[in-house]
Amino acid sequence: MKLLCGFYIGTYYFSVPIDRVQEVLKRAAVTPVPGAPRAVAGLLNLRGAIVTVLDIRPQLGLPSGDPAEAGAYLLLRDGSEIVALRIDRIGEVVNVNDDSFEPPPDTLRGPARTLIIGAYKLPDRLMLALDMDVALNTDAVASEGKPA
Amino acid sequence: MLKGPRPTRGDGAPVTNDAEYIKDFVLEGHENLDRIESLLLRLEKDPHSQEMLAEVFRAFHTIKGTSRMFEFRRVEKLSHAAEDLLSRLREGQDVLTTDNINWLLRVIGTLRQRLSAIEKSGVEDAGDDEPVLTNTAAAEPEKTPGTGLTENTLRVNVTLLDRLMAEVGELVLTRNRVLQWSTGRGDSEIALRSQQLNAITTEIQRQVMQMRLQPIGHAWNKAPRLVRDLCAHLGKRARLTLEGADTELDKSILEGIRDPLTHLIRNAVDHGIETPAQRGRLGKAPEGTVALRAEHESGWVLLEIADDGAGIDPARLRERAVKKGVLTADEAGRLGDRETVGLIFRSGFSTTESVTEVSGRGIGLDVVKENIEKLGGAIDVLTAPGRGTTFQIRIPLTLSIVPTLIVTDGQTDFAIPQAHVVEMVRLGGERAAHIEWMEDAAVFRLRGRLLPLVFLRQALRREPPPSAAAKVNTLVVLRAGARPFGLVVDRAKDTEEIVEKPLGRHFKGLPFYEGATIMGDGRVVPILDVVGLAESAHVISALERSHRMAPTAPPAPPAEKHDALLLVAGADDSRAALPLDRVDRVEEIAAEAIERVGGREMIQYRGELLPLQRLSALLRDRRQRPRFKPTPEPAELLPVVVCHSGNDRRGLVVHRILEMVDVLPEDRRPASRPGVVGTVIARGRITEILDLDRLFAAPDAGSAPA
Repeated sequence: MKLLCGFYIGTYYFSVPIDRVQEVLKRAAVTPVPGAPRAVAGLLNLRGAIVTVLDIRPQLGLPSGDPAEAGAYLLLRDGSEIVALRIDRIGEVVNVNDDSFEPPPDTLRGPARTLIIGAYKLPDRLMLALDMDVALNTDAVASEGKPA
Repeated sequence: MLKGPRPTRGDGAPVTNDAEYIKDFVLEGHENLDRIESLLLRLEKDPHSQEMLAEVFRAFHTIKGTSRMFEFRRVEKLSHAAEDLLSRLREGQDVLTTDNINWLLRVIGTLRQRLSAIEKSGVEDAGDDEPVLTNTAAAEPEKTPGTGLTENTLRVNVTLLDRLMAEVGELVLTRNRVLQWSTGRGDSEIALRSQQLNAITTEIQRQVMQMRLQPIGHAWNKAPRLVRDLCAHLGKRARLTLEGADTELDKSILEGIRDPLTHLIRNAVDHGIETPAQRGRLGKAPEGTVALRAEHESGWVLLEIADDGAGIDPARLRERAVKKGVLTADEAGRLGDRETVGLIFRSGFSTTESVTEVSGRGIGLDVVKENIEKLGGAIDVLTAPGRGTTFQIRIPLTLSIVPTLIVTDGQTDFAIPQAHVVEMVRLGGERAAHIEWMEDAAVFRLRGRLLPLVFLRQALRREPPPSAAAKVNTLVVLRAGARPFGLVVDRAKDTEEIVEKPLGRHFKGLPFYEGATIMGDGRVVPILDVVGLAESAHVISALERSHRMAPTAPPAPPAEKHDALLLVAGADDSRAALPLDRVDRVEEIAAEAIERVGGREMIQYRGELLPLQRLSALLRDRRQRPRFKPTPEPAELLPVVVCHSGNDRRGLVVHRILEMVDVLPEDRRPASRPGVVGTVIARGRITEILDLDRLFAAPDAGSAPA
């Protein structure tokens, strides 16, 4: 059994292990940083510490979010750093069994393919397990659309 | 702790007294004795602290255990005797009197002598310590000769240290200028020497910072007394526990944090801990706990002041906020508990119903918060009504307050360290006409001299430079290295003293920023890296070109897409370029740190094994004979470019890092051979752009040492 925290980006319902989530910010002033890798939406002030805000929407083929529009930020523990992931809204926290997990089907080819490690079968829907190593690694995210 | 496997004493077999283990044993012994001594001094004031007694007991126990393993009988006997006393003290069979403390200090002194003797000879000399153990009037332990590990400290005047720090700052700036200058020279001898200068300067800077570090325990040393006095005064009972007293931070930060800490400790006892009677009614132990904790976390020090007292009741706070007119009833109703608790940091918001003699001195938590933020830190509070309150403070390890100029590119604000700012020139009307173009380089005539220009907006956003006729508002003349350049901004806003904070790992390899800061209003503002900006905008080379070429008519604005490349050189002055977006970091590694694993060269890098590739080996097969006579490899430090392909990382060992260049796609020529994605002309030479994907895919290419 493990606890997952669900959240929405576009039509996707993702999840990450709850122990990687430090907190959720309902709103935050994000300072865009020109010249930064594409996946970096900017910086936010978390009680005096500076946190990098990532937006994986471009990699999902979605238009990147306007920092001014409403959204939420999932603050994730990433090694010794805290990284903020821009999400649309927070979902629920669910308890899942390991045997409800399935790797992504080979037929899944969409933009989400590289970002997930699989899906949990909830009674009413699928909860995608976000591959945090990929999602929080802008090298992978940012290389798209940039000259090699 | 001892490193590696401990020598075990099997069935009577003698222990091999390996010198390395003994050295560790001696060091560990001294460390434990240091701890015991400082605890004893605190126990003198607070002789009943079970916590501290237990710690002293454990420390003696550790010494006893390890000395037994090494069969150092005298050390074992001494520490055993001390441990005995401590266990009597813990069980209340004995009281920690001044005599007892003096006896313990004498035992410690004798133990230190024994350790020093062991350190020198590796064995324990025969002798009897019985007089020390039995005779309370035994002579003071004689001083150990000044060659032991304990004698390696020296007192230094702080003013001297501060001056040294300032000089090191200057050294760093000079080093930067030398590096800049040498990079432009193309002389490998000079480049080699300046790389050495670079490495040495960095090390000196690190060491001086290190010298300024002091344990947080220095700021805590008055806490036991403070808590005891407050308890006596208020009729309360509280126990103070300290964790991580040896956590180090910069001296000036330590000084700055002292008062806020005192205030918070006072608060914890005064407002947090309940009276024994109240606690009894709540089913809590009559004695409350105030815990101070400190630990390091990646460049920060985390401090906690926690009590198990009454906690903060958000409902009561809301009520109070409305009564005081801080919030309307409606606003208060909408405020979450966490946000409500945050109100205690608002100015003029006192949490107690009545101002007490102890805490109510006109200084509120707002001042505490302000002082901590001045140090570049932050404070947060967690509370559970009935269970206690924890204040969490996060402060940087070292202090760096930088005066800056705040500029805007029309969209975003940026801070520029004033150390780089030479002057500001307002452009407008006819002065804008003085912007001239030499090829793609814009220059400005400032008092008859040509100043190369960088357009901030375009440099950062990779937009095409404005046309020659573009209106330019403000020019900030900056010094990066020896020559000044002009940064075209939309407008300069203000000057501001800021505290620099580090950026996350996603910004590594980005040349534009050296950090970020938080402004008074909570906004995040990035700090420009002037040198990096100048380099990435190619100012330095543009200037060199401008000296060789006569001014020409403004050319058509170049296409917007530049490829940023890192130029590197191999040992025989062969050249190669690496796509900058594949470069994670440029590091210097010690040649002796290179390990050979299965015929491949590797280094330990940030906790993982990084495979190395020699640039010269990669390029060797191309060239029949070297262009220049190969220069020997620098003996100690090798520049390594850490680059990636997908999730794969490699270190490319080069001879020299030359510079960063921007090239236009149309200047790129197709590749002439596999392993290369294209060629460009850089610094007057045809240079191949390496195909990192391909090189990474061929695992054994170029792994042979150069």
